[in-house]
Amino acid sequence: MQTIEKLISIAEKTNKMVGKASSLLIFVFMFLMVYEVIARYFFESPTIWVHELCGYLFAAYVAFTGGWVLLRKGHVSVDIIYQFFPKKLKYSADLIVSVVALFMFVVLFWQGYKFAWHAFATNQHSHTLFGPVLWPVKALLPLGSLFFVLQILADLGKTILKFKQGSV
Amino acid sequence: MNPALIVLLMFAAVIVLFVIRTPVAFTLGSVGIVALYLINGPRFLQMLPPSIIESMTSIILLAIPMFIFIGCLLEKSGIADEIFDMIYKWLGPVPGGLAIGTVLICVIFAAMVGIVGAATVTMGLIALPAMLKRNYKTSLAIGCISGGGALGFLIPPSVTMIVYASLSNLSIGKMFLAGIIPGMLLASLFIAYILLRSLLNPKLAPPIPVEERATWKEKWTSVKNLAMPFILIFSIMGTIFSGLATPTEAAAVGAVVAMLIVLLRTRSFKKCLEVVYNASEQSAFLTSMVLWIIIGCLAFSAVVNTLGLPLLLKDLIDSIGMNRWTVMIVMMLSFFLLGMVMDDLPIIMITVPIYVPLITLLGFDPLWFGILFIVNMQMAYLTPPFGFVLFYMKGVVPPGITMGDIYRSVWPFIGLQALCLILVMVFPQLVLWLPSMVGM
Amino acid sequence: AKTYKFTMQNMFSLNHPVTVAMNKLAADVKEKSDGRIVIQVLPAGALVKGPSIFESVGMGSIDMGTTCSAYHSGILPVAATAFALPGDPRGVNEIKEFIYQDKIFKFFRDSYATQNVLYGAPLIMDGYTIVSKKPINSWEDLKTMKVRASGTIAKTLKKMDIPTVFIPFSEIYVALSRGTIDAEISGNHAESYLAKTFEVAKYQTTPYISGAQNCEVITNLDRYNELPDDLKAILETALKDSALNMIDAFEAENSAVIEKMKEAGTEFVELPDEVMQKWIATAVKMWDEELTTDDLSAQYIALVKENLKSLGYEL
Ligand code: NA
Ligand code: NA
Repeated sequence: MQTIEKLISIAEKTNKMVGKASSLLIFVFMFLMVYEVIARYFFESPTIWVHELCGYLFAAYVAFTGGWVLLRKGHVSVDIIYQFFPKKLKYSADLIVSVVALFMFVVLFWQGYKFAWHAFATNQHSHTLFGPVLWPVKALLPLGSLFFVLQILADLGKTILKFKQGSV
Repeated sequence: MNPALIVLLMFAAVIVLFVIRTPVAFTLGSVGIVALYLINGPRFLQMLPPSIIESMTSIILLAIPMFIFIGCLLEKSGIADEIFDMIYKWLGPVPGGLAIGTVLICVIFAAMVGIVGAATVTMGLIALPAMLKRNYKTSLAIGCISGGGALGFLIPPSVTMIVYASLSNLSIGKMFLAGIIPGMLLASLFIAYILLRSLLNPKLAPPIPVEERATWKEKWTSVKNLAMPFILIFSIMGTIFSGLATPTEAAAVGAVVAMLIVLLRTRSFKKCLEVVYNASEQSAFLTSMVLWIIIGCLAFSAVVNTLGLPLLLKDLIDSIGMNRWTVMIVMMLSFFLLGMVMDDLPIIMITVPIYVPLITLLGFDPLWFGILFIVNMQMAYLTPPFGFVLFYMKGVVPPGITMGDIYRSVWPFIGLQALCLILVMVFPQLVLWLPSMVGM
Repeated sequence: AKTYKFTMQNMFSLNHPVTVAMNKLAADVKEKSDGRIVIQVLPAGALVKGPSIFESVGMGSIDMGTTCSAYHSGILPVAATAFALPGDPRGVNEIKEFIYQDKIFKFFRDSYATQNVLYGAPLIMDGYTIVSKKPINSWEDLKTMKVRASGTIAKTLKKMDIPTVFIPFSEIYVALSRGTIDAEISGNHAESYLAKTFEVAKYQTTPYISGAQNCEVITNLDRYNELPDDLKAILETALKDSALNMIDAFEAENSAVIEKMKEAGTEFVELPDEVMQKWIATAVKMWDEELTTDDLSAQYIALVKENLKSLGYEL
């Protein structure tokens, strides 16, 4: 029992740290965008890389915050009926939800991994003038999915603990 | 298997998962993945990563965190108190003046902020107590904040518009322009309604007592309170429409300006840093939520797209000789019904893949339809039993006011939104005129 | 008999001649094969957007696609090189003859096969025009413009020290109308009509500043190889027919479209000699310096030069 609680706590701490750190990326793309506007409008020298790089940073921003949002129960759901469920039913529902979510992110991890690996193995580059290698961007999907899986397992553990406490 | 049946089964699965409180993102994602696997075959799962990466790296969607960021900053900046102070001085003596002023502040807020929560939350904290203290009837006070707050959907910038436009390949710039006239029209309807009711029944919203009224000098000095909001509005919409920047870049410019405003207002670097840090965290939180819903929906809409459902519906509509306006009205009703139990995002996600191609096939303008959709989402924000405004209001009203009282207060404003919807349907020029002017 | 179902992701808009040609391809193939091959043409963006189609077809998640090879420069550089050579003087028909020479067609097939993709047929369209808000009457005029461009065109502009701006395709219209950009290069006259940019930018340059654009229809190689020989033959014929049909359709539409734009006030300005000379000189120099970094591209450029010589063009 204690090990489960410990593992849950490690998973949640990881997601919290990664999520909070990634949320600071907003300042990077905000200033890059403003830099682009100034470079283009006042100095007539737009860059070839700001927008594309911002796109990639945005992908990291989204990928690395998903698990943290789940930890804070921030993924919106429609709870008009759930709120009337008795306790046991609520736990059972939570259990099913975790399994459904686990299924989704295992699939996304697996497909995303294949996709990123293919980009790595064939040394793909972007088709733009900037033309960076693509595998780091493509790897963000399996990485993001991994953080989700981590949090889903933590949630699953918590639900199971609740069940046990209920039956004691 | 019959495509219509497949889609019905998918929707049934969605409802079941919604009932057990599966997050929208996971519901759409898992139902989409299973359907894609069973109907199109396992190899179709491989198309998920490229389309997910497309969304995650979308420069257009990148505007979302920045517009949210601006909203979070303003909510905490105290800027609303200043505007309210001015409105209070000017409109206090008019019957219904504070309620009218609240709507006006909501318009200003809507023009600065891309999300609707910000205006509702701030007005709930500032305007509601002020109106109740002046013996305004609770229903009018709650109603005008709810209706006014929802204006944020329609008056640009608007995150909901960004999501709609990016899913249906419309220009964000055009869509922003398209929302301005309907937004002003709706605000005017609210104001006219409040004024009319307050004149007919002064007890509903009494003018403030003579001894509390501001002098002309006080009134004029308070006008400076509008400076910062207008600088911010100009830095966002001005940069877009002057050609300085694209919508995403304009959002970034606005975010930097908003940070400067917070710094100026708090006059403390430390306090400013704290507000900015909290806002950045909040933005990441909400953006991630929105983006994962969009990602979850990709599998779902891929199935709908490969089934060719819009085309099948079009054939069905043709074969039974249904009028295209009947179809339009049915769609509007479906928005209304979905809006009672859901928010704007899930509704966009499950309807856009089917509705937008269909209305295009039927010869309607997708830009105009987009605005109809947005007006509907404003209503969804207010309609019982599920609406953000309702729960939020319950949290800030004095004890003794029940959920039932709140439900009753919002109905007149839902009615006005419906009136606006009908006006926009009958006079498409309200939407299309301004975007057509950019061509000049 | 077994039926073969192909899902095709099209990347062109609803009324684009390529879309019309693909719908006809699907109908032809179905009829000629007695329903043994069924091609489902999905509208733009239904599964993946343009830049991801090539890779998705190669990996087999979709069976067929229409795509513009400019997008594949990071995967199969020769495809981008062959897409639209800046400064290439050849028109649509000359390029069509070129690609359908046995030697060249085999070159395309072999190059694409390295990515598990069958080069089905070229979709050849007119090259690029510069759509601008102010007329380009001199080198100075062009030099001071902020231009939205991509691919090899952007590369050439960069060589000439003209700044290119990145803006999503869907925002071009508003950006032009508000003056965020002064000009855009994303297609030919007919495509500017489809994208409605002519409404907000009055000037279009002639002649085209690149050889024709070679988009293409592609098929997953494994899926193609599964077909029995008689069906392969049917598909091949239909592919070639669709390529030729599309060229005719485009040409037929082109003059009507140009008339319509003229009525709406569009002016077609011939690029001044100094600009054209500079453009061609920069571009052709780039062929050797920039575009031949990989073997296949070098081979392709050599083939093009040989063809240009035989056609009597001098570089
Ligand atoms: Na707004
Ligand atoms: Na509602």
